[in-house]
Amino acid sequence: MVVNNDANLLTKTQTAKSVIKKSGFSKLVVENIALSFGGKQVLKNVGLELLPGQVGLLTGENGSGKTTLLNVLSGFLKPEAGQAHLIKEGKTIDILKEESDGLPLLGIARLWQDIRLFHTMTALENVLTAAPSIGINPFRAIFQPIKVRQQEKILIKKALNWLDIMGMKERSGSSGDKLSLGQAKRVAIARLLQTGAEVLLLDEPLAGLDQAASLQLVNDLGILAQETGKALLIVEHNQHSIIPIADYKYELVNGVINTTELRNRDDVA
Amino acid sequence: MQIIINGILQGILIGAVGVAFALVYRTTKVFHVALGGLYSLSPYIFTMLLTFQFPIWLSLVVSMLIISFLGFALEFTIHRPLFKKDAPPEVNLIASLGAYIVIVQLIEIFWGNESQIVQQQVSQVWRLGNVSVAQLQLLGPLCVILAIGVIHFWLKHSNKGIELRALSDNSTLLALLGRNINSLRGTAFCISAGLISIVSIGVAWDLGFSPHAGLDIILLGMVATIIGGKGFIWAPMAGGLLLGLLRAEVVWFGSARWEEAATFILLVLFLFLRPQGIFASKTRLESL
Amino acid sequence: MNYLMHLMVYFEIFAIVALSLNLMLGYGGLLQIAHAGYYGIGAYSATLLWVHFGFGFIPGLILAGVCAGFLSLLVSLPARRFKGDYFVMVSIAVQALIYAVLYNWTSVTNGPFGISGIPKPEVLGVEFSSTGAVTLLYGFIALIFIGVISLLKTSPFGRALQAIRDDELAAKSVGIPVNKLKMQVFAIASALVGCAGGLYAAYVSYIDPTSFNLNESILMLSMVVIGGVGNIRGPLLGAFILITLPEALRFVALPDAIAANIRLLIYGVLLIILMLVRPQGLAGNYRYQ
Ligand SMILES: Nc1ncnc2c1ncn2[C@@H]1O[C@H](COP(=O)(O)OP(=O)(O)O)[C@@H](O)[C@H]1O
Ligand SMILES: [Mg+2]
Repeated sequence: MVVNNDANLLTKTQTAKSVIKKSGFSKLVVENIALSFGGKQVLKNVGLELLPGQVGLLTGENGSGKTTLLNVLSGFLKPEAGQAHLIKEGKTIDILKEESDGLPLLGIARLWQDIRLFHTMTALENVLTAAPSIGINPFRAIFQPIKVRQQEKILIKKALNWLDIMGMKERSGSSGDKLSLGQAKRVAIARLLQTGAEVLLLDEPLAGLDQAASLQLVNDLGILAQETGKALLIVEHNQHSIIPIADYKYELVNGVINTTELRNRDDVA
Repeated sequence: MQIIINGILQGILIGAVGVAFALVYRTTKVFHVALGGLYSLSPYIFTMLLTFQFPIWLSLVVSMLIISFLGFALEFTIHRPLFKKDAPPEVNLIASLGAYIVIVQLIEIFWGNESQIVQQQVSQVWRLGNVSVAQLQLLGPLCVILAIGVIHFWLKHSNKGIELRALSDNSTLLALLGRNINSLRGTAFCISAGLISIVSIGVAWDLGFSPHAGLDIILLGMVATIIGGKGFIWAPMAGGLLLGLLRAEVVWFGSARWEEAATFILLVLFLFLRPQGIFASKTRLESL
Repeated sequence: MNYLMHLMVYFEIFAIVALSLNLMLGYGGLLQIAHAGYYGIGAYSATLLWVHFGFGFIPGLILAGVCAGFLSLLVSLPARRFKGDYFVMVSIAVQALIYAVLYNWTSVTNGPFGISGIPKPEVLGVEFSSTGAVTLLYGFIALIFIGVISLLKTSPFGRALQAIRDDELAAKSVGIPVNKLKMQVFAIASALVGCAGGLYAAYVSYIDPTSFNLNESILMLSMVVIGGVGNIRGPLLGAFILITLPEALRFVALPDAIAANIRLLIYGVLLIILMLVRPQGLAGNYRYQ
């Protein structure tokens, strides 16, 4: 049954490929990140690397600082020390110098542990918020309504495509607070994809899902990384579910990362 | 010298209003504008009791009790239900604004909107060198300092007081420990109202009163609280003294009309340069 | 009849005021208690441009909007770190400062005595001197503004604002420039209310600082909150209630002395009840976060 679904998704992904540009970035490098909360050193010396198409599993005990690391990499917290760079088309972007709302456009975006869909909007509108659109400038919205509409059509197509890839096209009209947990996560991932970011940080995407849904999502994520060349850093407490698709395991223990290279991702390919 | 004395006297009153505001704001996060309404109402109740031939001290105590009860009632009828619904600060603020409008309009309907004075008696003036202070001018601040001393003692030494201070640091933790937050919130509103009634009557005794006095003074109290920073007593008092001195200087050297402007320029300066206030808490990372 | 049209003009002006405040509160999530200040800036700048610099009605009006919008930028550039309560405090401070300037800068504003003899609206050589003509002109202008606001609301700009209102952190995480958008919506709202101030000045032909004080700001806020925020009909309803409530109260034959108090009392009670049972206002759809 799972296999069937896989095949199904693969074809969907392949049809989508025409629209999706291959990834433009070449490397994410994180080094020596340190951060403490009120004297409590949560991250001591954290480093990791990801290449396009790779999946990193970030694991560790509850409270070991996984979310905190994602907060740093998505610009929501500034660490006390360390570097994080995104090397992209020959340029080096200093992640720690950027504002959180600028990073998605530069290529790095995150999924929240508590999902955070916009609850007054439909799934499609949720995804559309993530599109860098000319109509976000109020003057263009007023004075060039036609141009904005035209671009909007393209963006809607793109959004529906991402929803389709995440298997949520049928729910595109549902309001954000009417979706089940699993559906909401998939919509949130589609929203993440719409940002155009090439490095996706996913905070516990499997939490709260049952076995079947969990397997399905892991498979979809694996395919996504392969087909689109996006790099995924997936936080997951229960490492066994992600290991099949992961290239690296990063385990956070006492503020330091233990890296394990995993060889068994050929299963998926 | 005279300016400084006037500034300090005014500062004590502003600071006391700040203490009353902070008691509610720091513990419940309610922007308690209606406190201005209670401020306006206090002298009306006080003088009404006087006309019923109550002795002065009894009138003061009874009006304080009535206003405290009203403060509690505001929490019980408006802010507690909002708290249960987890309403955001904006909703509390607007509701409090509504309560303020209601109180002031009721005052105008019952007592008219003219300024009034408590009594005609001419006050004795004390002179110390070239500084002169009217006796009446001192009475208010003295009562107020006494009241604040009592509150200070209570915060430090009673169980409720200690819990109230804890509430300002972390309300969820306190709820987890099984403390009754509702009763604490009620207490904060109650004490805050009691204090404001004393300040208000103290001021009215000296300068008279009107229905609209409350909003202006409560704004000053808010500013004092914010520039004071963390804490219930010292911070708002320090903020109040700073404001009082500044305003006295402005009145002296410039024009009384720029008094308000000076207050808010000071506020804006603080918000830019030292948003944590005079008494900063230990800097904490802004939580997500 | 003339009186009805007079009320209509006020409704049109206050509709713009309410819609612009709704832009801030309902779309931008910014609780502002200085709206009457920006309204006053608009009224005074338009008046000065018309009276002293000989500007035409429309250019003066537009520049008045620009002045008010510009002032909002001066406030919000540094104020972007002020959230929630602090934004409220800053807005009260701004209100106090604007009032102090209008009141004290006598050489320009004529202080408490105000400025009189403001010319009637004149567009393309046609003077709108009768109340009926002004009703039409202002109605037309109000409709243009409503059109602009609905265009904004349905645009990606409006959607981004809605996202910010729902969840500011999530909005940032999908790349919506939150501070910039708040600044923009603040500037647009201030420009609109500045224009409304100009319209008011031209209609009543005399302005003084008392129309632009803190109490007026509170009244404007109540108007929008009661009508409802987050859409267009809510603020319109709010403006309608503000204009018609005093008229309705006439029929109850209240003693003159307390009629105004009763009106405000009703406002206060409505504010409390609405916050308790329907915080989005009578006809609004904004869910406060
Ligand atoms: N904003 C914050 N302020 C203070 N402490 C925090 C904050 N965020 C996280 N922490 C603490 O840092 C530690 C790591 O938290 P987190 O990164 O959420 O862990 P994980 O996601 O691995 O479960 C925890 O002990 C948590 O209490
Ligand atoms: Mg976590």
